[in-house]
Amino acid sequence: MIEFLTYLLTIIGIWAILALSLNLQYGLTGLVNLGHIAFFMLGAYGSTILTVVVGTNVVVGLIGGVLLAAAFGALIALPTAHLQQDYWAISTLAAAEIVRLFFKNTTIGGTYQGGPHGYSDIPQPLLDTLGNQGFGIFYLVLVAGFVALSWGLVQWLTGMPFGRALKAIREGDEVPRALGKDARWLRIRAMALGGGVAGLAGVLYAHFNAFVDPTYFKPLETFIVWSMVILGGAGNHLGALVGSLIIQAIYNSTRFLAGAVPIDADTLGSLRMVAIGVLIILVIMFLPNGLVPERVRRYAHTRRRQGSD
Amino acid sequence: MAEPLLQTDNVRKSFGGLTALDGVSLEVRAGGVAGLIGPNGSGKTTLFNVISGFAAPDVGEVRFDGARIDGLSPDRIARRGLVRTFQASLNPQAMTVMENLLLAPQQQVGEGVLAALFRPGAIRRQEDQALERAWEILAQIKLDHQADTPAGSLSGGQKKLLMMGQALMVRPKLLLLDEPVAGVNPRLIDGIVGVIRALQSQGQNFLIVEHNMQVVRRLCDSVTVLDAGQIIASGATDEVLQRDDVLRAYLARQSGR
Amino acid sequence: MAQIIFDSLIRSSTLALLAVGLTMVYSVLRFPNFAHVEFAPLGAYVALAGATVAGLPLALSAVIGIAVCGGAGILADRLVFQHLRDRSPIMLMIAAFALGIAIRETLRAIFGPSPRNFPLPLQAPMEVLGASVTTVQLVIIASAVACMLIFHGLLTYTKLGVAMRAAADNPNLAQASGIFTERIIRAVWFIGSAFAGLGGILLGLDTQIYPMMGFSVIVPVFCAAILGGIGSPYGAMLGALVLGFAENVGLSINFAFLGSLVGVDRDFLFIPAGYKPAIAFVFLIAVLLLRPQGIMGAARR
Repeated sequence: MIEFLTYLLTIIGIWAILALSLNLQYGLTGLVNLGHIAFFMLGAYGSTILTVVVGTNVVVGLIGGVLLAAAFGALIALPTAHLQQDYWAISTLAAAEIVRLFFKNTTIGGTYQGGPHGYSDIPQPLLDTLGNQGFGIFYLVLVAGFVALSWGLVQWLTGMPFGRALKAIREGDEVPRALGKDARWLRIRAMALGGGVAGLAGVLYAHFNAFVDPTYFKPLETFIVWSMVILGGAGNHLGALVGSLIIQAIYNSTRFLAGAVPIDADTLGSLRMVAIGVLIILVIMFLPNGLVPERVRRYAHTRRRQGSD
Repeated sequence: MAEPLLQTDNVRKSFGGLTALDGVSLEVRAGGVAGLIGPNGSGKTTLFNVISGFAAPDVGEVRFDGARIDGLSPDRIARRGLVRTFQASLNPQAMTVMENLLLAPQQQVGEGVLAALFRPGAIRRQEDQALERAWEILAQIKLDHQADTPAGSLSGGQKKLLMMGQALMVRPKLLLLDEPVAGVNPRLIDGIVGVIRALQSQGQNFLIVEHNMQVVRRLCDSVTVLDAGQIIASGATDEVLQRDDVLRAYLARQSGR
Repeated sequence: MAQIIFDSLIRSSTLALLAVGLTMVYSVLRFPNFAHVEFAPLGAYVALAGATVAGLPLALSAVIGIAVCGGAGILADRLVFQHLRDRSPIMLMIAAFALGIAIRETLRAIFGPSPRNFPLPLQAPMEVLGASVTTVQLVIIASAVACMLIFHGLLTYTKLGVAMRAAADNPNLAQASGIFTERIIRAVWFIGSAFAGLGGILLGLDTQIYPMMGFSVIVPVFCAAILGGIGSPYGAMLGALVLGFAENVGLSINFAFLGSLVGVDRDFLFIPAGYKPAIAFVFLIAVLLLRPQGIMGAARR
């Protein structure tokens, strides 16, 4: 039970980082990125290839995975200036599938590695020293630390002039540009930052699971991240955390239900997705700001007594 | 005589087969309020878009403050000190009045990611300065009691004022106002006119597109009349507005709507 | 050569049916309906159930499948999209994404994840103009062409058609003048979704029926619609044709000449078959970057 709980919490933490990163891109900046899972995959594969094939240590893998995902984020942000939002959205979906097809069709590091086989034996830090259970708890703490770090990062940036400028371009380019803001450069940075953070989640996943293959990174997973952000409340980073907790709970509920109801695992797996789909539609219809709506920063108290002039 | 602050030289612009600007040469000198009038569809907004970089001229040059600006992106033009407002309120509606104002200043240290992380002191100083100026401007445009109101909840006139206030945060060399009183409650019009005059006396330069002739008379030292993409008159406001051809072009189109 | 043309036509047929429906809904409601492609497995599974469980003739159960999809389209609008008319396209898009997953996973829960086939006797291919084809494949192409002809009549002679063409020619005007009444919107949902249902049945006839069969063509379908200038039905048909050929011809082109340009001397250089789906993706991105108004959009000027 403890083992399952640490597993579940670790997974929730990894997905919470994904939700935070999408919230930076969509919630704050309004970028409808439907290829979010590609950042996760690039992080996971980047670190895996570095550690398994090249043979670097995990820290180098982490940095490489994050940078790779961030670079991809900057790359797909490039055409935002020329494209309508919905066109850009569908092209992100396509871009993510291209990334997946690339890894599915490319073998890096030997005949039975990469491609459809994926990679196994991805190094798990301190596994030998700590043993299985110890590693589980260590990794949970590690992931929790990274969740806190990611949350702190996006929360801090949101409160900064940078976050304010991102919020401004969320509602259209004209006014920010007329005021001298480089909207495109802001979007590139939002996508790169969000991409890097999502890449971090991918790195954490790879070294937690010790195995990656292309089947884990399908567009459906992007939707899961979206449902976390929509349910929690786009633009509120606490909401992203709440959303990932609830969605992952529903997603993993099949493990508990499997014995309790006379439905086979496949069907249960489908039904939980139906539940998430319906839930998101209901949230959009009846709770458009999510469970934890975006907060407005107040300034009235900063007003000075205007007696002197 | 000093070089004009803003100068367009033979600017042409067409969309598909429609010629919106047919060789417009306009001059705006520093130290006053210049007006740009003309019937609907005469090309005023297109000219504003060309000047502010939201549209590139097909032919012709735009010079501002001694340098060519045609072909530059809107944000680069804005960073050179030419800021515009829009006819309709395009302001971020979910952001509050104060956030809208604080967004405006240029060269904010905190807009860089690394600076946002590692230079909190410098950012705080800038923010404090911006806040102080924002409160001054809010008092001037009489929105100081609505600092925390989302821009989307303001009235039409207040939105216009907010856009102006935002532009003022930038301290631009030239401020282009696109119909600052159109659709505004008559009681608020006097307020807007008063604000513009007060700012003018403080040395702010304006170029204003406006349909309300009374407001044009009260505000503008000089006025340029655009009709069918061409300048048909230009000069001191009183003289231009008395000319028969101007009145005819203007009134004929206005009543023909 | 004839074989490639033939394979391309089959692919284009199914893509066209799906893309036309997608573009119809877009032209009226101005949002990309990500749930649209899920009407393909819906139509196919209903037709399959009609033919196997109820024992109806395949043609009849296909008609039922198409009608169910049309009804499901109206239902989707009534239950979800009608309540979101004043929301941003982004919200509609995400709601559609969620609805699509709900439809797909419901089908998977009912029919299971493994692929199914329509109960058809094994087809002996025949020789037509040097290409080997089956009767079923001819039926696929014929019914798609028939549909497009019927649709052309609809666009030309009905009020709905006139309104739709006006919208495609001038989206802003259509939005401003509100030429779309709720009745027209319902008609669009019905026809668009029914087309997708037929597309799914044809796709199932050509290959197999499985829950992901709709989503797996989402990018080519969007690509066809965007290629033709989204909102333009004839553009979508043309886009489907272009894409169907691009996918099949792309794989059979020997790119060795490109290799020689960069100094790689190889006799054969083909796109690996594993990358076939990527052709549509790359095509889509290239189209969006180079010609976002679509090929028809350019022609209209």
